[in-house]
Amino acid sequence: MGLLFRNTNQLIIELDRFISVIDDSALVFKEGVINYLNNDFEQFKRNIELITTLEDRADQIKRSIESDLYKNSLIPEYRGDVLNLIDKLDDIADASKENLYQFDVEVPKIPLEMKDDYIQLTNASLLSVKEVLPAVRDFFHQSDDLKSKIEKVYVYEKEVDNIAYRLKRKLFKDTKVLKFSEKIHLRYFALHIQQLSDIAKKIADILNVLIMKRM
Amino acid sequence: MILILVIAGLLIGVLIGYQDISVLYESVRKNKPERSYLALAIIAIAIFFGVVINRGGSSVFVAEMAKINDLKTGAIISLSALLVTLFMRRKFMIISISHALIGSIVGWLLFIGYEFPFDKILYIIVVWLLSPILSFFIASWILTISTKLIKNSHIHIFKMDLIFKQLTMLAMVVAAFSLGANNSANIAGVFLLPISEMNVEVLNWNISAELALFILAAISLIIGFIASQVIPAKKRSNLIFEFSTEANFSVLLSYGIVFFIFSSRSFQELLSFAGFSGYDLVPISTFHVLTAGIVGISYKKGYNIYNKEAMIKLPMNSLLTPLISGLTTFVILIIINSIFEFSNPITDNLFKSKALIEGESILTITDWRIVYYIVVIIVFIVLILLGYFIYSRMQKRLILERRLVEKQAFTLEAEKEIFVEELKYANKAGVRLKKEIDLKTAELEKFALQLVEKEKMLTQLKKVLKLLKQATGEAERDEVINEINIMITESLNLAKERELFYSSVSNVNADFFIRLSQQFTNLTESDKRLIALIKLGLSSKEIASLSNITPKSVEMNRYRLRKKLNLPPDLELSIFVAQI
Repeated sequence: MGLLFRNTNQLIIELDRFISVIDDSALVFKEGVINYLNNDFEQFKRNIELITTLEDRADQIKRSIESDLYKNSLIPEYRGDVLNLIDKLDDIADASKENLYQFDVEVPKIPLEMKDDYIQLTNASLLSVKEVLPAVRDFFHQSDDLKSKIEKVYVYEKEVDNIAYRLKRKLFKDTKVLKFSEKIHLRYFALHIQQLSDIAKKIADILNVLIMKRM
Repeated sequence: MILILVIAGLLIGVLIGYQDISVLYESVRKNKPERSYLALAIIAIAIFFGVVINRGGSSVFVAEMAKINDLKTGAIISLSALLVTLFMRRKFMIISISHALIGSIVGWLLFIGYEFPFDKILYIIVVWLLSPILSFFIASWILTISTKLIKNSHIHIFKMDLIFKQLTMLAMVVAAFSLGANNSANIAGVFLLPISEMNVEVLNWNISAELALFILAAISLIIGFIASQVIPAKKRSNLIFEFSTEANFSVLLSYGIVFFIFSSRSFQELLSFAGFSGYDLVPISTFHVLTAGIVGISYKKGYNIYNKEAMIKLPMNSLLTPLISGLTTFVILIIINSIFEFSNPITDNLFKSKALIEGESILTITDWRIVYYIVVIIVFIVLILLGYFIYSRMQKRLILERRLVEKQAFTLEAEKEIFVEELKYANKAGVRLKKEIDLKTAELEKFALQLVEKEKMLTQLKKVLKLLKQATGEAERDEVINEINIMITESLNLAKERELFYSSVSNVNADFFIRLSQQFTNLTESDKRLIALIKLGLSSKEIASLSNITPKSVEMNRYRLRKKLNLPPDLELSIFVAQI
């Protein structure tokens, strides 16, 4: 009889909350990086505290969603893909937290002339995350303009790669004030920021597969 | 004895329950992995009512065709069909019990030499062809409608999944009801005539033997179905389909509808009431209808789930099963005849049954016109569907083109946004760079002017020295010497500053010097210095002053440089230098 009287409202609310938490994590990451670049370490510390809380919350909600999906035997044919999607969304929160922690621990020395480049890279990376989260919501609500959002994620991700390439080139070819070890260190941070857009691209890939499966 | 014979015949019901119904149920059960006893009970009730309510449907067609008026013969026909089904399913998997049973009946009719019912055989072949075609289209239509509903409703995917699960359960109930109704013919059809006049007493309750037979048939189906859930089969069927919930729903509902059309008496009466009379209810194949539904869904979804070999095997099996079944029954009857001396007692019963059937007018003779109408209807349906296919293909192509254009538009929009962002960034960087260049150029100009000033000062010094030579008084001489001392001290820095100037010029125009060296390898350091000064926009006089040479020498140097650079006479050196 469970089949006739089951309800999915709680699960839908949980999923919406989860996506919002991921959205917030990405925003806090962006703020954190900008605060670090602007040497506003007081705000940066607050960002780190906030992102730790958000990441914990995301983990809790993720576990609850996974258990509900199995318990209610929902979407058996795409459950694997949807769980993978939720995992990848959680990776955004994880990567955001990890990266801010690395900024805090390793304290990379970013020269003034590179500041704008790092801000541009962060903005572009966040742009792809900002586009993929509504796409995920649209997938669950079966909205029409899902494909356009996925396309945009791919374009943004490509652009992030271009910006990262230019940044690294500038770092190694044009910047004279840094030692080689410092350049390597900064390259490593560019990769970390780039990681968010890579996760967004992976999420877009999963969404594409899910769209095909649902067709 | 009667009960034993009927139970022997009812084994076919257990097989149908074990294999056919469980195949349908597995597709529902995969939505909810744990076993639901309530769902099992609902399906069992649906089967029971399907058999009992529609007991006068397709089973009458089988009874009329077989003309068996003897329980023993009925049991032989039924067991023969069961044996062939078991053998064929072990070999080829997807074969129909209905096909085997009709084949057995044909074997029996050939054996007794009774008038061959061509009209009925032709009719049943048409229905066997029509039922999968109907299932194919109904399943794909239901899926199209479901998909459109899903897309336009914008209901959350979880909620929609739950709704379709509940609908699938309802479709399963419809399918179980119709399957029970249709398969009652396979189980009880051959026993119908021998017991038509009998009554049985169950717990002091007198009921007709016909009702008791159908209740037993329903129970046999339910036993088979429950057994399938209790005893796990190694490989029940390769037809358990792994689609989305809405696709499962479409297949099950199309199956239920097709079976309902060919097994429901009330639907038959409804059509008769609407003016479409003369169509008979016949047993059809679960696997063929189900397969056609799955293929319809796959076609709609663009999947290719069945290989060519399987698609050839399916119609081959439809042809082979009745043939093998007919032959087997014929051989079994000959063997029984030779062992038991057929004329006594079976032959008596056989021919008695033939006489009885002829005497009773319970048969409905199917008119050839009905077959003709059915063929016309099929052709008409095929033409409509062909038109629909062409239209839907064109629509699909249009939709694809539209999607492509939309995709390009979205990509362009996203690229535009990025370009705007980049432009902002580039503008910002450009302004900063321009400021830097302006600052450096101003510094250089200032520096150059200072040097020119110093050259002028030296010229003055020369004049002062002349004055010293002409000075007569000591005081006057000391004054001039003091003046010279100051001038020399100032000019001591000149050479140093000049070097500094040239190094500044080189630093500011580092890229320019790299390009220059790459393009003209034969230039000396003084040539490069001259080019740098020309690039700064200094006149020959100013260059002469800076280089501590005469303007004429500067002109000569410029002439030599033109030659080295291989410049045409009409091209100015300053313009050429600016373009490097």
